Amino acid sequence: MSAADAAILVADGRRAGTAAHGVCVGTVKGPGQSPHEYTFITPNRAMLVKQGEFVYYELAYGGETLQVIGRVSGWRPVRLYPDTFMADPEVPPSQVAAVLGFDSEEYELFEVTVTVIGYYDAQLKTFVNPRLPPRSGWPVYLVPGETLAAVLSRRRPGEVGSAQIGWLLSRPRGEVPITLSVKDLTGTHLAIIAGTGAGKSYLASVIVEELMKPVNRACVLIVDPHGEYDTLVEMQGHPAFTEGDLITGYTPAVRVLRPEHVKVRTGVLSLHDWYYLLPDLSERMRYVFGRAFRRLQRERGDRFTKEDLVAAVQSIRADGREDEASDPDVSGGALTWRIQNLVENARIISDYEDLQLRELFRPGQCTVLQLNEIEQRQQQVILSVLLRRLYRARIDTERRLIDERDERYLPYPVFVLIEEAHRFAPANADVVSTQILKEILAEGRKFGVGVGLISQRPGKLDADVLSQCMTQCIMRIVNPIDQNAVASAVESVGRDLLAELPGLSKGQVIVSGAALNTPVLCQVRERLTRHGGEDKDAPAEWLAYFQDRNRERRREQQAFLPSDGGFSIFRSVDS
Amino acid sequence: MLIGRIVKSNSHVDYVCHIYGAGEVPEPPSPEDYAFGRFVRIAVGREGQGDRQSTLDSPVLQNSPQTHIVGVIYNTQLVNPDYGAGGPRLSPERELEFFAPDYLNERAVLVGIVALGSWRLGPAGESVPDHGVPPVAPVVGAEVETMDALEVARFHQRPNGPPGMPAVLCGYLPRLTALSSPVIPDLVQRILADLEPYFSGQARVLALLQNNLAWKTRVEGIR
Repeated sequence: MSAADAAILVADGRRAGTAAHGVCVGTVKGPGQSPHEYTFITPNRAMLVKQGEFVYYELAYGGETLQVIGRVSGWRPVRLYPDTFMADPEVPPSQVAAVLGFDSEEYELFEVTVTVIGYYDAQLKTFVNPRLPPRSGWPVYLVPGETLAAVLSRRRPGEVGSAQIGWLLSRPRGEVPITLSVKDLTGTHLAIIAGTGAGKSYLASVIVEELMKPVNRACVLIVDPHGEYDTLVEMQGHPAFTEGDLITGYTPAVRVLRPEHVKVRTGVLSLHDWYYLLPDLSERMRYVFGRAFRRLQRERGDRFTKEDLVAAVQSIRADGREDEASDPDVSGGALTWRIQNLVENARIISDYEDLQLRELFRPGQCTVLQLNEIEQRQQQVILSVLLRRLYRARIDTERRLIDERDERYLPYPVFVLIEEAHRFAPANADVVSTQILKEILAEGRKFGVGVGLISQRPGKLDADVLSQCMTQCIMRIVNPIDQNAVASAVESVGRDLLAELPGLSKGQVIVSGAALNTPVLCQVRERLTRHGGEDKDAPAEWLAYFQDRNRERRREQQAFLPSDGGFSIFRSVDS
Repeated sequence: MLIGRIVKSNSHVDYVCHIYGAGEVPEPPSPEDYAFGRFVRIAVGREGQGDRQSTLDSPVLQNSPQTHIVGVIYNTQLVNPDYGAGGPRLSPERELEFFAPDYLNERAVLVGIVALGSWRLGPAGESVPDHGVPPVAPVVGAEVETMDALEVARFHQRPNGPPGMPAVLCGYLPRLTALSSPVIPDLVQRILADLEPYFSGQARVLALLQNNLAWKTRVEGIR
């Protein structure tokens, strides 16, 4: 022990708090209910011990002193004021106790359960559980902020591949930054799960901001069914996202594709997509349509138009067998009518326009694909087509089957963030986009396709899809069905943390999984760009409407009405 | 007012006092003077034990020199040897005073006193109330004096309390309520009620304690 260490030993041999050694907050009572738990007793004088807080005990092991870190996972009061002391709301129980001769301020005593995480192995860069529980009477210390900052996150703020999304909730703001590893976040997929109004799109935007900073320069696509991510354009030219000069430096490009510009070319839709867009076709109709579609693909590849498709169906009818020609569904033009009706009304289907992958995906570019005002089935088809093409392009690029002359050539990993993910991979429904999402979540990491799923209804999200996301950001969830869905799909978060879900405030998030060393409760930082997901302030807008209307009415009355007051359609019959 | 002397103890905090009868003191006490709930003080230390005090060298005692034990009367026993003796007597009742005066003295009133705390000397020589268990016990024969209402109130005033408003202290209550006698709850209720006029600022605290005690003894006690 150094002289400096010796100097900070307090009378009973316990250390006082320093930057390297935490404040002593309690004394080990004994083992907990499970092998990786222990309990300690604390008066919690300075209110330093909180649910989810990190504490440690020291363990002499292999010639060195290890700090075995654990997370506070449970509380049990050992000593409190009796209930009867609180019988009068206007008499503090401390006064009653004082009358009885107890006037100490230390009246509370708690038994705290700690779940052991382990000591941090700097070589392995992870926590190792020594499986040696503390002995009764050992002191328990609060983990200093500097230590936590070094061991919770795999990256330091500002490093290449870091995404600082906020601060450790149990510590003062700014003390312990929570920094996600972008490599793990985008490589092994992300899930953001939260109830309505908990701030999931806010958190997603914070993550996108981090991805677009000069240290990351990511290639991001946001599937935005509500049109609330367009404020991310403010990243362009923003000092926090800019590095160097205008010519050789970097600033992110943000491209917002409005719903009217989201197009899928007729030829790239698969037969399955068409079937999905044309629900409730009879077996005969499906047969005729399938024959027509396959014939068209054989003859034209993917270069055909909506009219070509209708003509192909009609030609199948014309040269059909006797029984087909007499089928009212087919011969009566019902199939043709339905196809024509679809291609005329589905704004997303275009004969010549298409979403070009190399336009959508570029490093340093964030593309926002706005799908609001588009019918839900068509949204699902768009995503399905896009993901299918993206995944194929990445596989072919990685396998060197295509080169840069090919329009599908994408020589860099991409990250796709999908809002309202339960629409695209629901639990109990057959949706066209589910299969490709599952495929990418299972195999996408090998080809550099990362997916981030955002949902407010984890109970409605396919369980396989959710469990494939290796980094989870879980915010306030009140619905018990959704809580259970999260608990069953997210293995890395302990029950103690999941129990916090209903009590989390807006902007507080449980982050766990591959992008961090251990699950943490985090306060999301403030956005650098404006938030676009605010709810409408209806009363204020109603008020504004009437103010404008009043002004306009007064102007009109002064300008056009004769001096006798004119005519009012609201004049009552009696008058 | 002197009401009697200690004749026996049942424990370190439970004493028996023989009430002075006619002829023992010029003005023997009336039954109101040794009523249930009366606060009394018993001299100890130099006053109560004479020269023997000089041999007490315990640091505890030196740091907290007692002058009086403060107690409260919680029990009364009437001693009458005549009760149950049904045989004939040689002397008629009115002549006993002449022929058998000892026999008259065997009739006595004994009261039980529970020690609640003590008066000890403060740093400036003033008397300070102490609601802990009195370290020094009174000797047999120590005299018992009643305390007036003001002295009782002063005994219950918290030393070093907030200025302007006296703060009440009943540090002996947990110990008192732990005694097994069935009359203790009533005794405590009476003490708290008697204190209310002197600590009006803390009337609600005293009322809360009374309510809690009443609930425990009158409602819970009957279940």
